[in-house]
Amino acid sequence: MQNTHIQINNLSKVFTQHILRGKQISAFKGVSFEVERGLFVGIAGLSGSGKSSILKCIFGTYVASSGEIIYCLENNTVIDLAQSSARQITRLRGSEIGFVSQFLRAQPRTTALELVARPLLNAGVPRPEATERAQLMLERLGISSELWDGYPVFFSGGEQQRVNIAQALIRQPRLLLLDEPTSALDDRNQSVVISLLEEAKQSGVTIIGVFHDRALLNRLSDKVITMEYGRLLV
Amino acid sequence: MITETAQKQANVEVETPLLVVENLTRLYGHGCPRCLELTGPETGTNTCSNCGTLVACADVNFEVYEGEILGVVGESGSGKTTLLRCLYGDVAPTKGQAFLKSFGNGRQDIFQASSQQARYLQDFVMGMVRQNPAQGLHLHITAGGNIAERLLAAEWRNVADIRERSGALLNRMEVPLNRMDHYPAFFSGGMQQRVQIAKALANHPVLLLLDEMTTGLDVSVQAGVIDLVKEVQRESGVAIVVVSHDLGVIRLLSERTLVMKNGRVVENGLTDQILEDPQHPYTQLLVSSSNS
Amino acid sequence: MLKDLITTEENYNYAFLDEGSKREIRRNLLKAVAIPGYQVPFGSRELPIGRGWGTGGLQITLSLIGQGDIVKVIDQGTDAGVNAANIRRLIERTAPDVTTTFQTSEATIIQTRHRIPEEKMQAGQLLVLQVPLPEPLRLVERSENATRRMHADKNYSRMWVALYEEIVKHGLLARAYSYPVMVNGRYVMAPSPIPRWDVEKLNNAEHLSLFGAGREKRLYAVPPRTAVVPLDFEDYPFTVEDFHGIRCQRCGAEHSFLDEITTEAGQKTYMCSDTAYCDEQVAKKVAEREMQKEFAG
Repeated sequence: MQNTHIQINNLSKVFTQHILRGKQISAFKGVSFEVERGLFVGIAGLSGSGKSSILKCIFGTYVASSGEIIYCLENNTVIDLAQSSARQITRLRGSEIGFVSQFLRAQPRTTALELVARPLLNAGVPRPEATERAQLMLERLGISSELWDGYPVFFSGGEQQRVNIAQALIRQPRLLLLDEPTSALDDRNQSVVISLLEEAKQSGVTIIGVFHDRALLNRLSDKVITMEYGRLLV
Repeated sequence: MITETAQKQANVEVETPLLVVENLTRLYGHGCPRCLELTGPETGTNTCSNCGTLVACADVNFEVYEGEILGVVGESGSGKTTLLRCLYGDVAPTKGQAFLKSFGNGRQDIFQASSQQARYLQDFVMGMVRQNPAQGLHLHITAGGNIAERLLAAEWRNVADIRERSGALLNRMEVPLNRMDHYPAFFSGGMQQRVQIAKALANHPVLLLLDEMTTGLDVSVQAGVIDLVKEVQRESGVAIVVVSHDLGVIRLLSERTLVMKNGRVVENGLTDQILEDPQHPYTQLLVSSSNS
Repeated sequence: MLKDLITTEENYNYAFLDEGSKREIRRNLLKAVAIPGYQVPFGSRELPIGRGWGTGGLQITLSLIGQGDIVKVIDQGTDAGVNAANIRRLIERTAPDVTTTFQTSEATIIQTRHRIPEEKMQAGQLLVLQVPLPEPLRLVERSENATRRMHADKNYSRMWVALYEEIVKHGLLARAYSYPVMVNGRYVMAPSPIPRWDVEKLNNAEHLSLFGAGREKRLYAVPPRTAVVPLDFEDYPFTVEDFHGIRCQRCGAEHSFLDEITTEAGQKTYMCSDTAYCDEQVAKKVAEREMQKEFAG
């Protein structure tokens, strides 16, 4: 019975800019670490050290240049995400792996409430229940009911980030990837998010989070790994 | 630690695609042995310099899974529209096969279908929305009549039932019911497109093909149509292939995307990957040039 | 008498057309009978009648008549009209061993324009209809290639849409004549410009119906006992003309297709379109009255 949820083996990411005559930019190199189920692993490091890129490789947004991303599914079988097809990854996103980006990508004609309810609706939850749960989540994150029918594109940065977190956390995936999700939040809202994350952890969600706020990172993580100039410090 | 011996390749259930397209090729002209070599993204042309044949698309391979939205993006000459037209049966491909799960159990090549089978595919299995509403609608048959045509092909013979279903579809597409008996020739572009979508969905197709559906529409109208398509897709579970030159449209609609240039597929992957980490030089050029 | 003056020495073949032509037409008629409702193209011959005046129907009749045939020719229901009379005369002159009649039950072949006789035709009788426009889909599609493909694919949705649009526009199925029908469950056919009243006579008939379009060069047929069903909707069924409460002013018939006539005095009155039928009803009444007179006194 594996306890490891995800294991990164010697992962590297190099960007090849064909427009710049094939110039290569290395995001990170030779990264290896493992994350046990239910643990919160924080990745620390200055900007440009490659932390977000690791998350994006795991999620499939970036194509890993070399190395393995061994992921253990719910049924205990194992796949290498770096070698998986786009379709396989689409199927894993949502239920298995979730990603909280730094910025909210607003959708046309979609209210805040609808945006947060959407992941539940997609999973087949009936509308009344989905709506109710979305409302609770928004309330929790301090988005007043006045804003529920509003379009997030008009919200403040902090409000947008909270809506983003709401829609990512409402349906708890087994592995949650966090990319600087609280950067625009004030202290009070930050604590709300922290307690939400801790709850998620309690229910067994494995979390890999990138935070540039060292204090916050230390507070949330069970284990911290540090990146520097694209390499993992040991 | 996951040991080497413990690793086994995924038992993620092998998923059969709804549509498999293999080696789709369409030439205009008599062709010669050098056509494929002399055309494509490397040479930057669709025209064979040896014999003058136009290679609209060549060696196109892809899959579409049930309930998903696949984007196809490219500029003019990319072959994306030819791709759709071959799938829908407007033109016959020069080479290639395609298999649909709901046709002959996925074992019969739809490009070899008889004309009656082809009509069955067009009437019941697939729906198509064209860039120019004049090509997808009869502008001088009422909006309801356009939808009725599909129902009548499915042998509906009760006018009240036909009007109820047409009305429901138009209503779902946010076309006011009082326009049902009006002619699309007098509708706005956005409304014409919505009538097209309603018509395409009339017989519950499993696959919907959208060919530059939003091109030429005002931006605010585009957003409405896109949103409507997403809602409808969620409700009905129809699989969609959306062709557009607009990356913004692709980003909003599709989970996976094909990038085409000069008739070839140059990249095939997750939409966010294509937009944030494009691999092929052309894709990088396209993404960096986009202002959405 | 007049008949003695008629000669056939004018280098005209029997029944005007040469034997080769007749054989071709008969062959194509066999094809037509074999595929009910399907329009068979044929080489339409020159006749001493202008195109559009019944050359198709006439070619069929001329190809089929022989010794012992009894031919009736009507136009809009009447034998006495100018066109019917001229056609009948041509037949009499070029096929002297063929007799002509006004009586429906007596005829072996009935050539008609735009009506079917009221009296039910029997097995062994032939009905030949003159057709101006054989293609029922022409009103929704201009291209001949496209309409042929529609027939081949049994793709009649455009026709159905046209009927639907009629209902939307007028609240009913408005077509008054040449109402489109589905023959043998396979082909949509134009039954020639007969009124709706006559369409039912084609369905499951005892007789063979042959259709000829000379100008458009098409032949088609409905064999006996073949289903001929007008295109309609469950909630908008096909209906015939309503002559409720009206009868023929001349013979009193209630179940006959009536022509509306305005008298010189400006009054509207109705008379049977099928004049032979009307004559028979009148004769019957006269005979009845005679019989009654006999019994009375």
